[in-house]
Amino acid sequence: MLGEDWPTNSASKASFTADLAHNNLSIVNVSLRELMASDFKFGELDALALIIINLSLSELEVLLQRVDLSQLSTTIVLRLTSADVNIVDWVNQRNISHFIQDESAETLSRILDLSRMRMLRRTVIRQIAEQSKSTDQVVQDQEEKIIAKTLDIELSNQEQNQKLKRERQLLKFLKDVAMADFYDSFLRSVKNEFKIFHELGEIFIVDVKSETDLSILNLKVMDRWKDYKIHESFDFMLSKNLSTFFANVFQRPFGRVIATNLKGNCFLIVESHLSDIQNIQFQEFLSDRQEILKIVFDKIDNEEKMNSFSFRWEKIFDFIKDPIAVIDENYNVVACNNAFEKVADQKKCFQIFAGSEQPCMGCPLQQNKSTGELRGGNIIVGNSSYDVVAFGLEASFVHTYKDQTESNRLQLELIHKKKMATIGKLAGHLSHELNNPLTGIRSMAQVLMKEAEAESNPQALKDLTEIESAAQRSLSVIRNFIEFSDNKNCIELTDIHKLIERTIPLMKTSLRNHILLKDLNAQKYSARVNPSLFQQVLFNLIKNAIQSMGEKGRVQIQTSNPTSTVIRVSVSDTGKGIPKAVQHLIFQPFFTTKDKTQGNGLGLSIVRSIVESFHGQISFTSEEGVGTQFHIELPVASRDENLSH
Amino acid sequence: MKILVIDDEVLITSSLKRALEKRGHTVAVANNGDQGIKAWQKMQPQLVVIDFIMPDMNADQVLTYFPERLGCKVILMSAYLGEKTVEKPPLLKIDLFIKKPFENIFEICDLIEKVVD
Repeated sequence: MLGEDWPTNSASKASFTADLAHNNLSIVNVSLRELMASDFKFGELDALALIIINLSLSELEVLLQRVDLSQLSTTIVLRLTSADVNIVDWVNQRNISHFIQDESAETLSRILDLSRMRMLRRTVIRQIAEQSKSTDQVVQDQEEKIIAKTLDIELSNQEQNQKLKRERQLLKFLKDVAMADFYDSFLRSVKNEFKIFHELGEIFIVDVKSETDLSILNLKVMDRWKDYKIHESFDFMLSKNLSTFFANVFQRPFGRVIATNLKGNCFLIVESHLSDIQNIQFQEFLSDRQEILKIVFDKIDNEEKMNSFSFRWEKIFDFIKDPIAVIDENYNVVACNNAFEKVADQKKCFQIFAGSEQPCMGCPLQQNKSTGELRGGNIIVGNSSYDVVAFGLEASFVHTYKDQTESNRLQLELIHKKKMATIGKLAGHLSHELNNPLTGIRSMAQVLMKEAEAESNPQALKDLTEIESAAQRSLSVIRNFIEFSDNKNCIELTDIHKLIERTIPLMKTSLRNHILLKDLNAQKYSARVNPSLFQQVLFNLIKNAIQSMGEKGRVQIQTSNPTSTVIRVSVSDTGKGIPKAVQHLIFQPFFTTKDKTQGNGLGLSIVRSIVESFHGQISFTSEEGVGTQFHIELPVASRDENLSH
Repeated sequence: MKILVIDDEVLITSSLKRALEKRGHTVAVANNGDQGIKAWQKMQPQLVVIDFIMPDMNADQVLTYFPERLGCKVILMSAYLGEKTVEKPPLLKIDLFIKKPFENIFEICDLIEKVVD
């Protein structure tokens, strides 16, 4: 209340004061004198709920010189004491909100409402202000945090970028160096990578083979390792002074040595002329790449070893003279050596090796497959016989082929020689044991024949003549037999017809019920043969003929001259013939269709080898159920050579 | 002429004896080495025809009993041709070798008579 106290009515005043108090308000009276005091703080007026001015116009004018009411935010109520019309203009100019003219209850309650509203508003404003203040604080805090965070992020972002860049560089290096598949390309990409350091000298790889042997790959002169010999033994890994060491090796001053162990005794050596700071950078750069270098080098080293290992294996495989093939269970060749044949396409082993369209007779694969054990078999390809051994499991079987032809031939020769030696011994004994009594019989017959002649006893003479000639025949059989067994190695001009005649008597016992026909029509019948061996040929062929015929049949021996320079000796039978399937096998040693007791499968192979030793040929035609003809063709000996008997 | 024939084959000795006796010779026979030695000592023959291989001993063993041959000639016969070394044993000092089996006994008789001449 500026000026006089109000309301003037004491009852109104009391109820007004009570109402105010009820609303937590009170009246403060400020007199004009107080207002006019020099130390009065008009600013404090702003804190009031309501200003009621109860001053006269003249007093008001005085006050207004001191304070600009329009500066105050507080609602101002002016009490009009008299109806001064001029006051309206005045009020309009000076931020007066309300007027009071009486002290009626209505006016009082209006004042109260104004005060209350004003207070309420102030409270709300204060609250808002406080609230906004705390919000500001929060915002500020957040802002600070965000700034800190942003800073942080920016920093780590930079770091991250750098890291990423490094990683990317490493990755690129890894990619580059991983492409290398040999030592030289490895070193090349290392050199390329290290190029960013200009002050580096030589970069090379050292393989420390022993205390005195080094191998160096530097790509300067050639792409290969160069061996160096060190005169004093030197422990590379323990040495501190590698610089001097390499200066000695290369015979030139050598910079600082940065050695990185790649694998075992292999080192990457970098010659450095870097400053200390650059050197730290380089060391870091190098240590980043160390793992990559090691991994890639290890890979290359293993590959090289593997390569040389498999190369060596392949060579060994190829150098083996006997054919070897790795085949799968369907006979497809998976790998094979040179002796077997190099083929690009996958083919069956029998197609390649035997040129046939079905597995070889005697192939041990199936047995090996079913038993899982090493199995051997014998197959015949062309004129050669092979021992085949199959071993392995599931998809890979190893076939080794051993050519038995030569060893079979040797074995054959051995058996033949042994046989003939036995026969020779036997013949010697026989000749003594039989010749003696036969000579006695014959001699006695001759003596008695003479006596019978003298005594004119024709019957006795006839009988004795029979005895004498029987003895003579027996003796000639023995002689032939000795000739047959006498395996002296001499080829001589021989009358083939006579030889046939001499051989037939030896066959008499084998013939049993069979008929033997001779049909010796050749005009030229001398040839250069070993007579006893040729007898064996005839003997074998006739024996085979007889054996093929069972109880009855006909054996025919014919000679002819298909050309004037060839004598052909044919032995034919009316036997069961040779089955087509085995016709190509019959000259193979140990091949036989007979019972084990009847032959060892050597006869025809002996026959062939003998005929061939006389520069002759043997062939045959055969039809099952009809018979077989063997033909031996020999070159006729020239006429001017004398026959020897 | 006194002739001794030694051979383990009886038919040979007897046929030779018969043929030679027909020609007027005196012939003794022996059918093994031991008999041969005794007959030789007893008979003092001018000619001995001896088979090389006999069951009890061979001709060379028989001949060692008569190193000076007592002035008699020796004809060796052999059927054993399995070993070529036997064709003419060098140390036996024989006068003739006859290979058995022989074709004709009378030819042998001719050969025997020829040796003594």
